[in-house]
Amino acid sequence: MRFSTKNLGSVEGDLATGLPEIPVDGLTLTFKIRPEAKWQNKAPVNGRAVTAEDVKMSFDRIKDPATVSPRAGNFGAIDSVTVIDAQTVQFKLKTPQADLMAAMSDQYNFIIPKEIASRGPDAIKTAADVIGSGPYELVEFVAAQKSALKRRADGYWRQNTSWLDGAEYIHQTDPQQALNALRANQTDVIGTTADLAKTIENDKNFVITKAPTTTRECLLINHGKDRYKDPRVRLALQRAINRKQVYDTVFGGVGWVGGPMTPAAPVWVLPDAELAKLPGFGKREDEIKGAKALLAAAGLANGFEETVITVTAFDTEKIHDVVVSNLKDIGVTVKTENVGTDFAANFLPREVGRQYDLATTLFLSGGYPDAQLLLYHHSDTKTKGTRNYGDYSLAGLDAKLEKQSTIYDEKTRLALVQEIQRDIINAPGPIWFGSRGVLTVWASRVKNPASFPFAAGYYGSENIWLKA
Amino acid sequence: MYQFVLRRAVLSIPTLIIVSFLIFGMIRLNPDSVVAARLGEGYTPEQAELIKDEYGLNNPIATEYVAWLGRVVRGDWGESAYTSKSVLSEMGPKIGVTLELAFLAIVFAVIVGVPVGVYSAMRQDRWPDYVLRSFAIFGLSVPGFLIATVVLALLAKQFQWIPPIRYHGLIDDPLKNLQQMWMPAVIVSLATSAQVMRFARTMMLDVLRQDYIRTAWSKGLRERAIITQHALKNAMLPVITVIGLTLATLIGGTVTFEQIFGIPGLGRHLILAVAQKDFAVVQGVALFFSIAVVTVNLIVDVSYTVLDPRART
Repeated sequence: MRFSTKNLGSVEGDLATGLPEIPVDGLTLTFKIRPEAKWQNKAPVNGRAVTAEDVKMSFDRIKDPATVSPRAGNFGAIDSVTVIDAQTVQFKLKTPQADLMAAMSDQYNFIIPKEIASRGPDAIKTAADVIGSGPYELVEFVAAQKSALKRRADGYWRQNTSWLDGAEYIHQTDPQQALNALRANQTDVIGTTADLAKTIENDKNFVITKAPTTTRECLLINHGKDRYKDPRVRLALQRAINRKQVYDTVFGGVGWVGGPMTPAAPVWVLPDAELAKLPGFGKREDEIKGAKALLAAAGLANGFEETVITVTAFDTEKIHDVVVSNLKDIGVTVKTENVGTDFAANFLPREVGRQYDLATTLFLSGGYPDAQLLLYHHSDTKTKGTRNYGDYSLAGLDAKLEKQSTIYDEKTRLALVQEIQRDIINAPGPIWFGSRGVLTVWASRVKNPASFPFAAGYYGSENIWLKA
Repeated sequence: MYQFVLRRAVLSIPTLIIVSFLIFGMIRLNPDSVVAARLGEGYTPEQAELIKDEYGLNNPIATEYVAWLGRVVRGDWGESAYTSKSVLSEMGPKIGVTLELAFLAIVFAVIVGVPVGVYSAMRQDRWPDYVLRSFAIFGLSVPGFLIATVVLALLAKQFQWIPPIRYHGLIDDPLKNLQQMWMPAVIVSLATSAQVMRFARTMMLDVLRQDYIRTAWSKGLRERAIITQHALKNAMLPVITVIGLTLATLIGGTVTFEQIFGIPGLGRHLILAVAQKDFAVVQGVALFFSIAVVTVNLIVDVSYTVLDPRART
């Protein structure tokens, strides 16, 4: 499966011929594998057809505790994978999981040949072990230096696509030098920063594309603190945040304002017109006025003082500066506690341990409802392993989160997913800001350039060609 | 002579022990970083304890340090958490790259710094001296990474040219290698050139005021003969010391330049390891830099005494 590039947030068949057959109980998913799909012509598979056995072995390897795969949790609902015939594979689930196909489409999830998968945890150690069924072969990989791909000589099943003969990736972490290399015609495409993109935005030699990421910036509320048990105080904070200012000042305008679902998955988000009418997304002066009224109603007409933790990593400290200024506008005086530069070691444990009142933070997860809504808002952190680090709960929300998770029909599910977003915005919750974006600069000789939120494998470049 | 070398080598050992203890200890100041780097988000206390046990973070630091030092001496510098390869085998090819850059920079620094310093001394307090000294102050005061950034941006914008960003090994393709290396080497060498130039000028002025030089002038010798045959050798002795010590600094000082120019040397390896929290690699590279500095200092001391036997006492 893969994410659609036309309908961002949806999935479509890739190695599979399409979406699986799903019975009414939603517990048995049957996938048909494309018969024309073949592995690349490298030992030990030597260009043989992709089979259901490969799919089974790939998932069995991920789920094997010995592999310690970070993706195992995404497939916890899979009870067993059965080969029906060479081109048919069946997944039996413990509970229905509508996002299973999205998890399968994740950029880090691959189907690999059974000969490689059977090697266990250390299956892939060198470039020679990387054998795919896509249009390009990995021919060289030097960690943190370079990698090279070339188009497979034996042809790719998808016709009229993947026009490039090959591609070379050079690891250059200095964005200015990357831009220099682009100007000097030593590369055709670079990732860049908003500041640098501005220096070339009117240059006809380059084309700039951008897309939101699935990272969401957030003001996390500790609901265990007495003050935040009052929904009016939380809603006041929700209304105080000037989301546009966050993305304009910190990310040079390369960011998308949004609610609890990332704007990187437009299929699932609330329509802009509706979002603009919800608290926190309206005109600034109205929001400030509304927030102050809420605080007054909660007996905090003079505002209050609060310690907010943050971290110097991933621009969080810059976002925090905007948060401090925004909260000041409604009378909340912030005392900043910056825990340092190590997000995972020093900041995350504070969140997980509920050792904070408010936290300016960010979360990165997949761009689908379970990963965005259920994972961060379901109150059962222990048995479901959710990341609801603020112990947020809302009457009826858990049931809605669980129900949407089981609805395979996208349209039916969308209505519930949008209802959940409204609930969270009206009674926050973590206070979500939206998602920062990525910028890509292309040499003008590159045709059909595009950026996608889900950078997944080759298909971001499948329509690209170079003008001689 | 041998006794002197031995004495200096033995004296280097406490320095290395102190530095290695600092490197080892600093990594352990925040054991949670080690755990988080390995386990990422959402690990359990039990998993954290397993990692701490694996890295010996629950044991007394002195015990662990002695065990680590023993492994280092035996050639076991640990394993990269990122690539699962041995730290030494990963560092091996990168050491040569960094040494090449540092060596080229020293060569440029000497080629430029020594003649300019000597010429400046010969024209003391005249306009060539003022101009050259101004350049030297510029080279010393403006950070090399800033010069590199500005030069590359200007070249790219105005001439659509910068040195190649694809790295080619010196042995694989010497020509392409030098095409990539000469510019960073020149820019790295700017501060060193300025330092060498100022030192050479000072030493030369000192020598030029000596009685034997005055005697040479009174004998009617030409300026070139006085400088090359009488003054230069004596003036250059302290300059060699400065060059040697600068080489030690350069080995560690190429970090930023390797990053900017995309040169896969030890400095870039260190920066990536820090970003990836690959602690065994950070320890290994830092230790290597320390050993390199101490070794170069030792070599400078020894070579100085070879050139000037009075310094052996």
